[in-house]
Amino acid sequence: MRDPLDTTGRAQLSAREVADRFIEVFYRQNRLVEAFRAWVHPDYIQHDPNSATGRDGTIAALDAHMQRSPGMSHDIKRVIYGDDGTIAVHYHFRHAPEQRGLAVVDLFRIEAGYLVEHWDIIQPIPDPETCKNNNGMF
Amino acid sequence: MRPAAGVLPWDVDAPPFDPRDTSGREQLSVRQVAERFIQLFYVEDNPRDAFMCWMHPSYIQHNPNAPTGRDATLAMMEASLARLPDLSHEVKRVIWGDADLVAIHFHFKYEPDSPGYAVVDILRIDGGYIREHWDVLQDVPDPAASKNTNGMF
Repeated sequence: MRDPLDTTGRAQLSAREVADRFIEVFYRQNRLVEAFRAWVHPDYIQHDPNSATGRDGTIAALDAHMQRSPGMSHDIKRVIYGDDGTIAVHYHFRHAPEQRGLAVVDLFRIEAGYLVEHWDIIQPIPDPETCKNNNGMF
Repeated sequence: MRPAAGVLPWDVDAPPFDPRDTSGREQLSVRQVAERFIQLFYVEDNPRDAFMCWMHPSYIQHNPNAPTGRDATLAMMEASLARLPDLSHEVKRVIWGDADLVAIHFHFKYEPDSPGYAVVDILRIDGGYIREHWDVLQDVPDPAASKNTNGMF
């Protein structure tokens, strides 16, 4: 992959190429703010009820989130590349390494080289003792 | 329940396929299996037919609140449906993956006037069966408590 922050000719990139670049910077390198500045549209539609809509409102929240939780991690379990520019990222999020953490699915709609819309679902991972099966959430 | 127009790319009142027809199942594409299951489970609210037709008997369940395997999960769903006959699944979007996975984003309600839950189900399909299932579920909050006015869907 070329530099995942290089947005040159973005309108010609496939949704999958945009997704892979964003995923590399945001989830794998934990450079949340840089990933947003590069790939998220300024008028991004945010459906997470705990975040403001628009790119810049979300960037402010992500910046605060990184300061608060410098040991955070996003362990990607699977990515689903849809046929219409929508993708799903299923991952294990932890604020700090020793935590049980959260199971998350982020959905993004990608258009003309930008992430333009986002939905997510977040569920705390339960104590394995209380689970009705031994398969884990991932 | 019936989703909004255009969410599913077929006529949900008269699907161009028989959603219970499993003949030649190993020749069906991942997408065809998913379409049949979605029609029965989410649109027609018929977990029995959906599960008996399309879930592998030993499918792997990752929902921590459900037992693994088809028959145990079906028994739990039928008990819920008997208790809460108006429970509903309103599909909002489907991510038709390019490999063996499909994600269904839907609004789940136990009762019609409750705020309900936002859910994503992820299905892994192979050889004409759903083999594995993951989900994440979150309460839909009071709109007054939300930091934007876009809604969770």
